[in-house]
Amino acid sequence: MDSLNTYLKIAKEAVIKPGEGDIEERILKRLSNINEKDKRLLDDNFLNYLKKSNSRTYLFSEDLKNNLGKYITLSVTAAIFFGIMFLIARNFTKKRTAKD
Amino acid sequence: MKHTDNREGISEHTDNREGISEHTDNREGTSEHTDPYLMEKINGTAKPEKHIHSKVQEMKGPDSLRSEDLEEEKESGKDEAQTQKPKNEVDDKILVAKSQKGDKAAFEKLVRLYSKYVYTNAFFILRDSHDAEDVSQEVFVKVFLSIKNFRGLSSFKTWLRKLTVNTCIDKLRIKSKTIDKKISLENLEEGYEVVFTDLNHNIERNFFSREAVKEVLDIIVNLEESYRVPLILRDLQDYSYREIAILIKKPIGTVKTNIHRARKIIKDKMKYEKEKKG
Repeated sequence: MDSLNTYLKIAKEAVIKPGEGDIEERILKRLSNINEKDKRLLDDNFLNYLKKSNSRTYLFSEDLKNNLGKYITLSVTAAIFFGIMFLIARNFTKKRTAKD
Repeated sequence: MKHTDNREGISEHTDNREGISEHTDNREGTSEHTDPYLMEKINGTAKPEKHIHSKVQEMKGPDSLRSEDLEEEKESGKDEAQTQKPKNEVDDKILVAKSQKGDKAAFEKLVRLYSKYVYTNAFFILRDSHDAEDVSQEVFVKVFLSIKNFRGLSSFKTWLRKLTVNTCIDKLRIKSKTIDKKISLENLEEGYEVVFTDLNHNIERNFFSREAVKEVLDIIVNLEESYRVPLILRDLQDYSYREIAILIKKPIGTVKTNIHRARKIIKDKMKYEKEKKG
């Protein structure tokens, strides 16, 4: 399975050579001939996608949902850190009060 | 052309860029948005002809993208296209920023940099060179018409990749309604040439690894759609299981099972091929 994962990782960098001629030229040609019909491609679904991709909060919430484990670990670590800091500070204050 | 993304939870953001003002969206799950056209479109008050037309005119210019003043850019663009890999994200950001200002040469460079990337992603999902090319063209038309509204919160490549995947899934959905799956399975793609980008010099040198990767891709392309699409999204596109489940409208458990089975099929086939050769 390890070798498969390696191959799949490498496969991410692979590109397919389009069979018939130069695809860039055909895309550019299409772009230079945009007509009314093409404008319909900007449908509600696309606009919805665009809106989502432009929303920082949405992207963050998606990241949170997709990496829940990471955020839980971070939160727990932060809570433990602040807990320890609080205890140290409290002990320090207590000692100082006792001295006084 | 139905979109598959039904995720919820759009919230608010503000953008103080030139020509963009603040609008409010009262639709379900959304709050505030910045693009007036998007809001008009959503509220049904959009005037697409005028808006998009002016946008296209701004972008196209009198001589469109193929004007003579682009010749020099074309030469350098072609060189970069050979490698099919942007130097880094900063380059992309510069090109996107220039494109947003109406720089045709910059947009052409983006096309040259990413056309094969988009085509490859589309081909693996759709398994048909003509459909892949249609999708590539459609994706770049969408990008061309809307690049001014792209805020760059994610990288351009990610944005493009997700747009390509969404468009492909839409296309597959339409296809599955019209074409018999058995027929489409028999009608497999005739052949394709896989090339590796410049980052894979080691792989290029290592013939056996290169052949193995091609073999894996061959098996993936020949997998059934229910196995192929989730596997590609997970292993080649880095989608999470949750995102895949939402995109293909299947339970997350089914997605995980199908990906597991797809990997097992690939592994078994590779083992079989190895034994056959050895």
